Amino acid sequence: MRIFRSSFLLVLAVFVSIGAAAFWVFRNGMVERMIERQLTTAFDAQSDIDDLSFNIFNMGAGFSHLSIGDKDQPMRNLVETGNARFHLELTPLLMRKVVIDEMSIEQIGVQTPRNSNNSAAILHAPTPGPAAEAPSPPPATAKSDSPSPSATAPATPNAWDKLRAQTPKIDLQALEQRVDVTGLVQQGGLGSVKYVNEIKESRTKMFKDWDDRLNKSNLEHDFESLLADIKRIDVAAIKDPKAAKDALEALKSARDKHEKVKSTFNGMNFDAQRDLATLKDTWQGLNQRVDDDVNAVKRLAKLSGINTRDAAQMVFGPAILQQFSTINGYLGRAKRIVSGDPADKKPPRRAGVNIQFPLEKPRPPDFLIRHIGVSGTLADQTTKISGDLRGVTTQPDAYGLPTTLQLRMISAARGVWKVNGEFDHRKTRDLDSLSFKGDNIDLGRIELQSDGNNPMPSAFHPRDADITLAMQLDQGKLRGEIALIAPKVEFDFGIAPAANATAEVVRKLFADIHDVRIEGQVGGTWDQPTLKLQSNVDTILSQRLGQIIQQKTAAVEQQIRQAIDAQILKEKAQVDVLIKGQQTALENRMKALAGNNAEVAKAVDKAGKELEKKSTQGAKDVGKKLEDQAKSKLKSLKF
Amino acid sequence: MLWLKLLRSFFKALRASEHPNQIAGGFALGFAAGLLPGWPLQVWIIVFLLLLLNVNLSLAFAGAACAAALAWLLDPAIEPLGRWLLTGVAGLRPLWTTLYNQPLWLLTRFNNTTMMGAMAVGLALVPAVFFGLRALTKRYQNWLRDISENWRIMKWLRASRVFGFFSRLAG
Repeated sequence: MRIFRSSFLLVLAVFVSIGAAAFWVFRNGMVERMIERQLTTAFDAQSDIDDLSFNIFNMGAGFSHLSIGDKDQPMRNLVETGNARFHLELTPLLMRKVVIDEMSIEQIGVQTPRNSNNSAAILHAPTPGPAAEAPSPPPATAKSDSPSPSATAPATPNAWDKLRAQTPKIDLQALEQRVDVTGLVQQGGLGSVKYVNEIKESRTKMFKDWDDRLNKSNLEHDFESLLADIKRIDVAAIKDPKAAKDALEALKSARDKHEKVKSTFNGMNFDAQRDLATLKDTWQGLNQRVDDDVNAVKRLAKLSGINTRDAAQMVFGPAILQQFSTINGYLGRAKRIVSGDPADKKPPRRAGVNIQFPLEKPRPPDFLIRHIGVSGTLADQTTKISGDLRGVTTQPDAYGLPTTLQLRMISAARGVWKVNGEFDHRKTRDLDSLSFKGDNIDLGRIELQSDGNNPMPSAFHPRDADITLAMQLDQGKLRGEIALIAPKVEFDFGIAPAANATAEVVRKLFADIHDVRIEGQVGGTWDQPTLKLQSNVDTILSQRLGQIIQQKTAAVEQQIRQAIDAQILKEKAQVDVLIKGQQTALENRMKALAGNNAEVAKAVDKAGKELEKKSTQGAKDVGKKLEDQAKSKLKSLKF
Repeated sequence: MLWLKLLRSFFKALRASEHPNQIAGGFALGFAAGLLPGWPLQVWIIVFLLLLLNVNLSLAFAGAACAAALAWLLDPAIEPLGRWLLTGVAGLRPLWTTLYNQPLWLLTRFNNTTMMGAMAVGLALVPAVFFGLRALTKRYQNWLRDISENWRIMKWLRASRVFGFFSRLAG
């Protein structure tokens, strides 16, 4: 038996076939499509790679074009590159690790528009119009050049919008327009009018309760009955002791009954006086309610809550937040891309566990690009970009160093920008930072918060500005700083100065402002950022704005107060008349009862005195009679 | 119906009067490859040996299928065995550390617990499978050939539609 196959050529053929298959795979774009699928999955957006090549002998590889879509803005590329060349290191490849020492990328562009066929515009036919303009990577450039905040904010797209909404607003337009006070007054459901109605109801109820209480008590009847009882005691008709005794009993009964009725009357009288006393305070809370109404209507008219103490925050806050939001978006994307946190998954059956042994020298991560050198010209054809990205890896701990980014952008029109970033996702730290620094640059037109008809400036245009913009995400805590120094500042206005008086004032207010210095700090967390802003224009702006707002607010407030007064005065007068009438009626009724009570008391006293007198006289008569009888007996006994 | 296919390969080899070494060698190499998870370096070496050596390829596939099924069933025992060899035997640690620091050995994925367990089981079973199957083939080749040609059940199997289907499938 032969040990080896006679057709060893067959073996050779098999290996040659495998090699040919591998060559075919690389030639026919299968690997291209596989990488495109991987990138599309990783970035959650359409990604394309063209002309991928691989040289198995020198492990060299490259492609002619790469575009990775922006999932937040489907018509833009997150990043787009031209030619790229790199070499795979062989030894790590034996360890199933992809390590690229040097990679060069030409014609890199960010936020480039995508063509309809999903290929990038900058490296092919440029698309005319604003959409074809490559956005300038510096974050403080024009709003139209930067991705929208909602598009760039990665984890919490609404967090920056919420913060922007919380910045104080100056709605001079609301001051300028005629405030429909009557409508607002009706719309508001005034508390003061409600209060008048409540008073009317409560007082009516009070007097009705008194009527009911008095009627149920029968005091008037009781007094009349007492008087009748007392009148029935006829002292003159008393002839004998028995009659006197009966009269005394009747008088005692009348006194007891009177005491009871008097006690009831006194209690009711006390309550009545107390309730009547409260009528003096009836309108005590009305003025406060009118003030509340005025403030409420002012709020409806957007005239209140204007805090002029921090004018910089009002004027520049939204624009600054826009820039922070943009850079935060870049930070979030970078964090997503460089983050090397593999998801913990339960290994399938027969997968086993890789046991680690001590290493004589550090082992590279599973995927590492030590250095990427980028160069190119942005779509505007005037901005040259060059820079280095170091330490792109899926295992930051294994690599041991943070990912760093240094970019330099030189534009004839917009000066020099330097971008520095550090993304440290080693387990000992979780720190991402990104900073932009520009010297003597033209920042372009920065949109301010304006609706177009507002007399406030709609944009400002700092020239020859030095700007530093930095964001840092450290263990979930956000820190950001912006410092802008602009010797020359121009403000754009949404409406013509002749449109109204306020517009004229506002234009003059901003006309002579220069040497603007703005410093801002973003803090808080990724989900709940906060903003503090200081500016050297605070004082002048706040004073001038304060004057404008004060004048406008005072006039409108007076108007509102008059409208409210007009509405409640008539109602108040009616309630006053009603209360007065009811009060008088109650007072008269109580007076009458008091008179009855006095009359009864007087009758009782009178009857008592007469009875006493009668009883004294009767006793004298009886005594005299007895004395006479005794004397007569004594006479008869004389012998 | 895998067993039908295996049976067919086996009897075909017997009928072809192949040498017992060819039969046992093909099956044992396939068995060794089938035990190992994935496609590490040693599997490629086995494939190369299968192509180079004059062994029965059909039985190599059969052996690989049997071993893969066996390894899947025995995984709960194989994985701890590999873990023990890699971490529990102090005397072997210097060897593993040395190998771990040489990139070529990493292609064998020896530091994987399942791989190490499968290799250990393979080292123990493959010689036994080879020599056992060779001895059986030597002893019973003629008898088995008779069975395959004369026994009614084998005739029935060969005549069955299922067998025909898998025969066509196997080429």
